[in-house]
Formats: sequence, C-alpha cells, structure tokens
Amino acid sequence: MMACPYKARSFIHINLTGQRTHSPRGKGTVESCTFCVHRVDRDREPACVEACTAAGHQALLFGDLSDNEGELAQRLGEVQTQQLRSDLGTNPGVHYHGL
Amino acid sequence: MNNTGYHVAPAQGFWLFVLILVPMVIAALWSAHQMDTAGHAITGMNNQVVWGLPHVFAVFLILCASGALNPASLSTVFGRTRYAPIARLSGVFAICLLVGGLVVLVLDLGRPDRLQVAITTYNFRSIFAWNVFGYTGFIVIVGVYLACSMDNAPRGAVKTAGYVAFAWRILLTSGTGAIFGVLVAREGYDAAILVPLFVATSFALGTASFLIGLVLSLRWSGQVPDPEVLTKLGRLLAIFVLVVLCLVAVQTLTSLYGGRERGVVEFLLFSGGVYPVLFWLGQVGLGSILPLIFLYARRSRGCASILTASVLVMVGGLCQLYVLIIGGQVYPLRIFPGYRSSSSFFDGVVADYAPTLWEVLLGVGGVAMAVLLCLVAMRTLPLLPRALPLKPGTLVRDP
Repeated sequence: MMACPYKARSFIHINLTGQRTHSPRGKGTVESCTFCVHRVDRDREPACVEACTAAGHQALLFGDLSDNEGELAQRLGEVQTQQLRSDLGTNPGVHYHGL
Repeated sequence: MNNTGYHVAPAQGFWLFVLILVPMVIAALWSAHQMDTAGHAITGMNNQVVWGLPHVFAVFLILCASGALNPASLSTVFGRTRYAPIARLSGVFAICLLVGGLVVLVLDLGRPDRLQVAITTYNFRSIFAWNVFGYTGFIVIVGVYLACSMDNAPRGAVKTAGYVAFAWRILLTSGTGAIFGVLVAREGYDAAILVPLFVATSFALGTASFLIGLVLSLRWSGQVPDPEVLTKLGRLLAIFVLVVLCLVAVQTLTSLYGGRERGVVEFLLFSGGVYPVLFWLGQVGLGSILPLIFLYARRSRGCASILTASVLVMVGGLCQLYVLIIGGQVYPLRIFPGYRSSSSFFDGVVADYAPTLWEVLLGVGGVAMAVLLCLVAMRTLPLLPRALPLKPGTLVRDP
C-alpha cells in the first residue's frame, strides 16, 4: 500500500459480510482492482468497460497487451498514449490517451 | 557467570513500577484486539495515511534500541573502558526497546495472524523482508554479546560479538531509513539522505534513552551515576543532536534548491498546519536547541540538566518521526506529474489524519512494554554496576 504510486491499493478497514466466491475479500487485508478476472475468464469484459460501452462513451478499451494482433495493440500503435508515473519505470498495464 | 561488581535491582519499588506498567501493556493489547475485531476504521488511518501513530512509536523505539547500544560499542569496539561497567545494561536496554517497538509494529498489522506469511515467505526485493532479518538478527547478536560478556567468555569472543553487534546495528538502522529512503511513490520520503539521517537519529535517541534509563535505574538502586560518564555521554548526545540538525538542514535545503520536492518541503515547514508546528517547535526548538542549551550551558551541566536534555531529545525525536512519517503521507501523491489534478478520488488533496485513543494506547503500551522488560531484566539479572566509576581490571572485567 505504502509503495504504490497510483493509489491503486485499498485497505479493508471494516468487517465485511456476504463476500462473493470470486472475491474472498476481508477486513485487515489489502485489495486492488483485478480487472474483473472472473468475468475475463469467461470471455467477458470488466464491468467498468461494459458499463462505459453500454452508456455509449467508448472511453475504455480492454484487451490483452501481449496479443500483437489484437485491437488493443493496434490502437496503441495508432494513438499516442501515456502511462502514469512513467518516470518510475514500473510499466503499468493501463495507458491513457488525451491527458 | 562473572558477576563481580554487579548486582540485581532491589525489590523495593519494583512491584509499584509493575503495577503502573502492566495496565498500560494490557491497554495496548486491548487496543490491538479492538482493531482486530472492529477493523482499522476505529483508528485515524485511511488509504492515504497507511502508517499512523503506532508506527511513529514503533520506529521511535527501534531507533532508540539501536542507539542504546552506544555505550557497549564505545566500550568494546572503541576501547573506552570507562563504559565497560554499563555495557551489559546498554545491551539489555537495546534488546528490550527493540522488542517493545516490534510488538507495536506486529499488533498494528491488521491481521497479526498473517505474520506467519512474512516469516515463511520472503520477497528479497522488499526492504521489509531484509528488516525481518535485521531485527531478529540484532536480538540474537546482542544476546550473544551479553552472554559472552556475562559468562566469562574469552576476551576475543566478547570483542568479536561486540564488533558484529556494532556493524549490525548500523545495518539495521540503515535498513529502517532505507524503507523510507527508497519509497519513491511519496515525495516526502524518497531521499538517500534518510539513511544516514536515521543512523544519526538513532545515535541521538539511543543515547538519550540510555541516559534516562541509566540515571533512573541507578537511583532506583540507591546509587549516584558517575559524573564523568554522564558528562561524556551528554557531550556525545549534543554532538549527535547537532549531526541530526545538520542532516535535516541539508535535506531541506537541497529539496528547496532542487525544486523537485519543493512542494512537500514547503508543506511540512510552512503551510501544512500541525506539521510545521511540530517541526519548528517540537523537533527544532524543544528537541534540538533547548537540549543543546542544557548540555552546553556552563551552569547547567549536572545530572538534572542531562536528564532534562535527554527527555527533550526524546520528545523532539517523536515530533521528528511524526512529521516525517505522517506528514510524508498526508501530502498528496503526484500521480500526474506536470498536470493539475482534481477528482472525486481525492487527487491533489491533503489527507486528513488524527490519531485516535486506540492508536495512542497501542503506541504508549509499546513504550511501557519496553520499560517493563528492562525492569524485569534488571530485577532478575546482575546488570547494575555496584559503583561508578570502576577502575578497569579491578572490580569488573573489561570486556
């Protein structure tokens, strides 16, 4: 938590109930976004991407960065993007366009 | 065991101290239990301020522990036989203070039961993993040093253990400083100078805590501290305080000159509300300048002055660590360098932090635990020198 330069980690400060099987989160532990891995495993998109697309914004594009033939790799080749705190050399998987 | 010239602390007053300290330790355990059951929501800590007041106390005690070994190192490594009679007291204080600090650290983890993961699974790219070895190794090495010096071990063995302990305590404090020094995400940390600053701070805090412990424990046993030892340790304390001040000045001025961390430095020194007050009034005024006056003023070089100066240095050290640890976290992360950021996720906003009673109880309980361990050790082991000064080779064997 302390070392993350992106505020991408959260500590669970209270008791939680009713956790889902795919997300066994609990008090006293640290969590972060999993890109909805349980949905991706079933060939679906992360919930935020799906919601953004459904609202007609098309602001988020999700894909496999290692797939050179995929839409994500193609768009990254066409559009100039930025990674947050690229000066730290952590090479995060999220790229931003139009900051 | 070679106990010539040493004695255990008297029974008189022991149980009174225990009666005062044990409830403080129980309160700390109760506080940890509350955090464990209700969650850290009952503390002032949040996602931005991850390390709160308990961590300030934990780092404070760890630095005190490392520095409390100074008299033992002066005796064994630097050949100052004047400090030989108090060397074993120095080693015991060091271990007890470290245990007190580690207790606070462990009880504030949120899930202390998960400590087993930290003990069994090591990520050697993490400085925290190195520090696990640093802390446990320190206890073992100083323990061996004490055993050698108390158990008629050959002079060479005592010297070797003393040298290893000295090198280890420098590494240990460097490791603690490096936790902050290489933490590039937070602008308030991320400076290599924090490593020597932590080493120097440990020298100052350790000498101050040892002086307080020495004076009080000798008075407890009805003895008067050797004025020469007190004066010399007092002078050393003054030098360490000056070195800390110098390093803080260098760090501050280079940050202001270089410009990269100017924002966070201006925040901590001028515009940050409680943090500039703690820095100027607590760390610089009460914790550095006033003790220097007490230590250098001709008319006030007695035991009371040195004791007062030591207490002030400890207060200043707490303020210093609060400003560094908490102030360094409340200042917003620079996630978008070169941009002005605002969002519904507190980007660019100074975080709030106010310690709750639970955190105070846990932190103070760690100090109480350290003092309690010191008292039990002095009551059960022959640690207190019968008289000071002792001529080398007469009443006590020079380790």
